[in-house]
Parts: sequence; C-alpha cells; structure tokens
Amino acid sequence: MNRIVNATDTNSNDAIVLKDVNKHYRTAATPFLRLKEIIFPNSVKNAREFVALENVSLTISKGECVGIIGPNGAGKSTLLKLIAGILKPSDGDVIVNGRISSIIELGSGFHPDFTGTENIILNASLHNIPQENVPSLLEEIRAFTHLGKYMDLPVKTYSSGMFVRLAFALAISVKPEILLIDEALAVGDAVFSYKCLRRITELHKSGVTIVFVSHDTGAVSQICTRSILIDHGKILADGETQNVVNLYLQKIAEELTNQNSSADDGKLAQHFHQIGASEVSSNNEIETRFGSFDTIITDMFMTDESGNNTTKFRAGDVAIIKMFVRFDVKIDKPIFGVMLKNRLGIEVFGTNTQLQKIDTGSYTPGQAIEVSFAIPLHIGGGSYAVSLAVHSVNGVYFDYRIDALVFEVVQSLKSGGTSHLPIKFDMESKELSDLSPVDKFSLAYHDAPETLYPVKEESIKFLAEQWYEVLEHERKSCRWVGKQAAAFVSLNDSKSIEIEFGSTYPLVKDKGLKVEFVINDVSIGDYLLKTNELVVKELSLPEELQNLKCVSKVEIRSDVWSPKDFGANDIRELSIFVYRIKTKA
Amino acid sequence: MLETQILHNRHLLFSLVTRDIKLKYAGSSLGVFWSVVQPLILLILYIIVFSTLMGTTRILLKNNEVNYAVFLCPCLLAWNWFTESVSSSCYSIISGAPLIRRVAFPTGILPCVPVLSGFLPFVVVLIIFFLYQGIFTPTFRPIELLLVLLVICIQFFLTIGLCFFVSALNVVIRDTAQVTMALLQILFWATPIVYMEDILVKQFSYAATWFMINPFAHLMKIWREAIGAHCLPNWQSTAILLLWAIIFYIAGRYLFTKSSDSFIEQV
Repeated sequence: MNRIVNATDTNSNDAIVLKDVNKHYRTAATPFLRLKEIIFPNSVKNAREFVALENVSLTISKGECVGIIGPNGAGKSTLLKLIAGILKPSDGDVIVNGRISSIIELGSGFHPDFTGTENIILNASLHNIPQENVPSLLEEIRAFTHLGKYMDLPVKTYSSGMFVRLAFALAISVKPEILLIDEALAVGDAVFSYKCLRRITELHKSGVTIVFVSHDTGAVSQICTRSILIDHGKILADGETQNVVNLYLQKIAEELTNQNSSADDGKLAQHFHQIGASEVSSNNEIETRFGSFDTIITDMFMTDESGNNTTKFRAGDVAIIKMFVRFDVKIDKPIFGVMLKNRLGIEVFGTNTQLQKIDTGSYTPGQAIEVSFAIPLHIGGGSYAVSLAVHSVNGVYFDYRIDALVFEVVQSLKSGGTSHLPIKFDMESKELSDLSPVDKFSLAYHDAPETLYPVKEESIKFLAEQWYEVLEHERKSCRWVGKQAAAFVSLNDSKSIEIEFGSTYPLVKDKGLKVEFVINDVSIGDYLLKTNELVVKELSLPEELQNLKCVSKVEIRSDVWSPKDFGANDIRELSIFVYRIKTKA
Repeated sequence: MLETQILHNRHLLFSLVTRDIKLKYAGSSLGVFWSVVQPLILLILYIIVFSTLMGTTRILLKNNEVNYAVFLCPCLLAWNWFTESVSSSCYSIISGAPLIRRVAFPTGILPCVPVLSGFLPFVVVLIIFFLYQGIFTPTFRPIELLLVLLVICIQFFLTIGLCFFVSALNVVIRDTAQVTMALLQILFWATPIVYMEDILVKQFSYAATWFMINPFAHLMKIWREAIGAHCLPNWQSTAILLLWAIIFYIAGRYLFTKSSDSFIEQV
C-alpha cells in the first residue's frame, strides 16, 4: 500500500502525517532490467537496493515550525520530497492537509527558458490562481525580489542568488498553508537571507506550518521550536530543538572521536568506559556528556571576581569558570575549551587553549589540575549555558560536557541588546562666539556648504541628507519633511528675514494652510498660505533676536499632509517647502 | 488519470506550447515564419526531384489524374508533423526535469507539447496548400474538410500514443531517442509518401502485405484520397489505422503511467 493523500480537511489539526513510511530505491544493473522493474515491480532479483527512509512515522500539527537536521545523505531531502509529493513512498502513507509550497532544489520548478515573469505565471496556473490575481502577484514578487529588469530575462541567465530570491518569493506568493524549505536559502546574500528568515517567522506567526531542512543548526535553533534528527533514513530524535541540536552536535563529535581514535592504534580506545558510571554523571538535567573519558572533568563551578560561588552576574562583571580535570592516561598538550550559549542555543562566545596559543603542558595518569577561565561578561541579559571540554590536539574528545553549567546575567540598565560592549563617550566643548558665521554653521553641521542659498547642487545635497527630500522640479527647490521643518541660519546683525516658501498641498487654495514662523523658539509671526505659488514673506526680527552672533534655528511650523491622503502611494508626510531664506540688515 | 490531468492543466500546456514555438525560432529575423518556410522548401524540392525522376507531373489517383504536388503535399506534411513530434518528444521528460521536480507538476502534459507545437506549422502549410489547390481545382467540397478533421484526429492519437511511449522509454533506456530517429528514417522510405504504392507492389510481392500492416501506409492513403481524389476513405484502411492508433495509445499510456512515478528518480 502506498498512498499520498492531499486532503483539505480543515477540521483536522494535523498538517502532515507520515505513517510507517519507507522509501527505497531499487536500481537494476542494465536499462532493460530497469524497464522490467518498472513494468513488473520487484521482479528483478539482483537489483541493488538503497534504503533512503525506513519506518518513518511523524505527525506535524498545523502551525508548527519543525526543523529537520542530520548529516548529508541522511534522508532529509527525501523526507521533504515525500511530503511535497514529488516522490512517492515505497510503503506507508503520507497525508498532507492544506496547500503546500516548497523550495526544494535550486532551480527546480522553473522552466529555464521562461523569463522570471513567465515562470511566475506558469506557477500561478499550476497552483490554480485565478488569472485576475496574477498582475498583483507579479507586482508583489517584483517588490520582494528587487530583480528589476531581470524579471524579463530567461531564468537560465540568473545567478544562484537571483534564483533563490525568485524561488522564495514564488513559494510564499501562493499563500501556502504548509511551506517546505530545503537548504536553498543559504545561497542568497546576507540581507536577503535575513529578509527570508524574517518572512518565515512572520508566516509561522500567521499560522503557516513550516518544515525547514538545514545543516545550519544555528538557523534551525533560531526559527524552529521542534526539530527532528535523521540519520541513515531513521528518525533518531524528535523533540525540542535545543535538545535535538545538542544530540546532533554530540553525534558529530562522537563520530569525529571514533574516527580519530581508531587511527590512534586503539590505545586510547582501550580505556573507553573503564571509568565508573557515577563519575561521568551529568551535572544537571540539561547536560549532555560524551567522550572517551580517558580524562574527565570531575567538577566545575562559577565564581565572581572575589571568588564567591555564584551563578548570577551583572552585565560587564567578570565571571570565573573553574573546572577540575583528572588525567587517567598520559596526555601531551590537552586542549581545554569553553563555550557560552544563550537560551536560544545560539553560540555567543567560545574559545580554547589551542586557539589562545597557551601551552598546557603534559600530564601523567593520576594527575589532576584546576583550569579557570576568567571571562568579562560583555553580554546582554538572560540565561546562558556553559559547555566545557577537554580534547586532544587531533580532535579526540576526552570529556565534553554540553550545557553543564547555567548562569544568569542581569541586563545592565545602561545598555540594551544581546551584548554589553565596553563603550566610551567623549565630548569636547567649543565656544561658538569665537568663530566666524560660516564656520559656525559648518561646525554645527560639519559637512554643510558655505551657504544654503541660492540653492546650489551642494546645498541641495546637504539639505537632502539632513532634513529635506529634494523635489526635482525645474526650480530645484527642496521640500520639507516633517511637521516642524527647520533650517539653520546665521542672523548676525540682520533686522529682518525674508523667507520664500510654498506648499504642494493640493487643497491649499480652498482650505488654506496656517504657517507659523519660529526662530529659536520665539514666534515671530504667522501667515495663511492660500496658493501653490511661491510666497515671499518678510518678517522683522524682534529685539531679542537681533545681534545674535550664533547660528539660529528657523522653524516653519504648519500642518502636515501626505500624498497618500489623495490616493497616491507616497506615504511621506509633507508640509511646506522652502525655497530661500535671506537675511536683511 | 492521465487524460484528466492533461485537460485540467490545459492552460499550462498552452503556455508551454507557445514558449516551445517561440524558442525554436528565437533570435532569427524571420521568426515563426521559418516553421512555414521550411516544409514549403522541402515540398518544392521533392516535387522537382520526383517529377523529373518519374518523368511526369501527373499521377493517376483513383481514376483521377492529379498533379504530383497534390499527391505529395498532404502526405509529406502529415509525415513531418508526426516525425517531428515523435523525435522531439523523446527528450521531453529529460529536458523537463527541472519542472517535474516541482510539487504536483502534471508530467503528462510534457509529451503533448511537441505534438501541439508541431501542429501549428502543419495546419498553416495545409491551409496554404488548400488555397493553392482551391485556385487550381474548383471542386472543393465541405465533406473534405470534415474528412481532414477526422484524419487529423486519428493521427493525433496515434502520434500522442507513440510520444508517451518514447518519452517514457527514453528515461529508462537512453538509446531510445537514437533508435527512434533511425526507425523513423526507415519508415519514411518504407511508407508510400513520395512514391505510389503500386510501384513497389509490382516489384516485390511482400510489399503488399507490408503496406497492409503499416499503419502509416493507410494514413497516407486516407490523406491522399481525401484531398487528392476527393473521396471518402475506404473503411478497411480506416479500421486498421484506428486499431493501430488505439494500440499505440494504450501501450504508450500504459508505459507512461507505469513509469511516471519513477521519472523524478531517474532524470
């Protein structure tokens, strides 16, 4: 019996159910035998059989985000393809509940000779998306991928990064209920990867079921709450991501150790498991421990700088991690390592004596030492786990204690974020009155041009970078952004100020736009603007503002409006644009 | 069901067909025009060579004396459509590999693409031929058009059956494409397309039996008599042809559906 059911049973709470799924490939020796095998399955006697998945049963509920990890060739991709319905199981049932979309192999599902746009249309027709929705879909994908003119070139001309952009946008554009993602995302650039991960998180929040296959345990820890470890076609572990990832890392390390110790004449392997179980017990319930135990970490704890045992620190404190190591074999230059992970399982900091180029000396059986690491905790608040290890130069793990210690860091009130970097502030005061007006202005804004008027290229550039959006019409003037637009002007000995301004507000003729002029927080007048033409307004300066030797802030306050109120896409808030400010003696 | 899969995805099929046609002539200045020019050139060449070889341009067809062009044209066009469809469908699964790796891609539409994209130039040249014939022989009857549609239908199923067969077979046995090309070459000369049946039957006794079995001999006969001699096809030829079409279709469909699950593992 093999069945792929794509039931759209909205009542069921399970998105994906696999029941005793087997997948094996039979490869007959010659093409003709292969043909015979296809027409009469299992008829060829000497077919080479390769088992990709064996007795896999799992249930993924709606809205879950599940990571699938495992070494190369473990059967991760086969599992994903079975869920996607690309492969059919040899035995067992695959039941999928809901609209499914996938990014499985780079470039798969694309017609290489179709352009990006045509591939989207092709995809839409495959997913039965109504014709009238296609234009908006295209627009959405264009905006997300930023592929621009490449959208109209055949996808065979795309780089792998462009491919993955399109593939991702396409996969999510069909509003999937189940999204399957294979490692493909790793190809995109950092910005896009980030964008993708963020979008995946958003989709997850909106209730989409996500299955994510990756080698990158970091990415899995970041987005998946549950993970499945697969090796040799079997599910080895299924549970909370953190535990599964630890198990996986442990497996990798074990394999590495086994490889190396078998190369080491088996001398080290002789000692394996000679030590009593009580001595290699775990420190806490989350600890995972493995190694050859030829040398063991007998104890470890944390203290503060003055030597008091503690597991609570403030950000910036120095933590001292101590471990006691007993040697049961002769070892030259053992390596002592430490790793800190945050509560999401993301590695925050790690180092070892080899990386630090520390000569650790040589030891004989029976010797014991105390190793301590003093680490200034320049990290953000939260709980952290410490892993400690002793291993040999050639990678044999003697004792690896993952997450053996847990400590807490109280967030400093002086900083935020995931780290607490040592920071220094520096300030130097300067007397403004000692400087000439031009200097004053360029001191306040060091890259300011000598004058802002008449409006020249460099002043436009400056204004655009500072407060303005440059409106490229024939007058080359600038448009204010924000409610209180401000400019800095040297008033010097001027008696009055002339401001030339206007507004692009379409209703200014009917409603009028009230404008108030404020210099250094002193109101010097107001005006009701009733035209879209430029208006020149001369304002005399009050006594207190005359004879000012420094740069003054000229503000023009007015109501704001946005083009979007008039149906445009522009969501900026606009008010008044100022063409020129002139001071008069 | 293979048929419902194809019908359900007809929009997709048509977009693949249009792309296929556009691609074939992409970049050339005459574009799609070539798809009409090439069979026309071939036709003219055959007409010149064979009418000189046989020393006459008139051929007796069912007591009807016809121009050699009228004799040759429908058959050569029909053969071209058939042979091009079958030979390019050999690769339709292999070259469609990126597509069939997609979730729920209807694989069944792939072998249909060359059949439909070859149909367009075929029909265009056929219409040109009808115009030409209409000008020279004002005996055109609507029944002929009906006959043409019927023959096209039968040929379509015959071709598509074979396309399913070779496209699936070529995934497993990659020599299929080469063997198919060779067989098509042989079949071209072993079928009365450019020559009259009688010429061979007079010389070799077994030729008559062969023409009896060969579905393409019957197909050509029906084409020729419908267009050249304006007469209804004899029921024997139609029955044999229909039988072959059914056999090809069932065989092709069987192999295709049987092996389509394993395509993804083999391409």
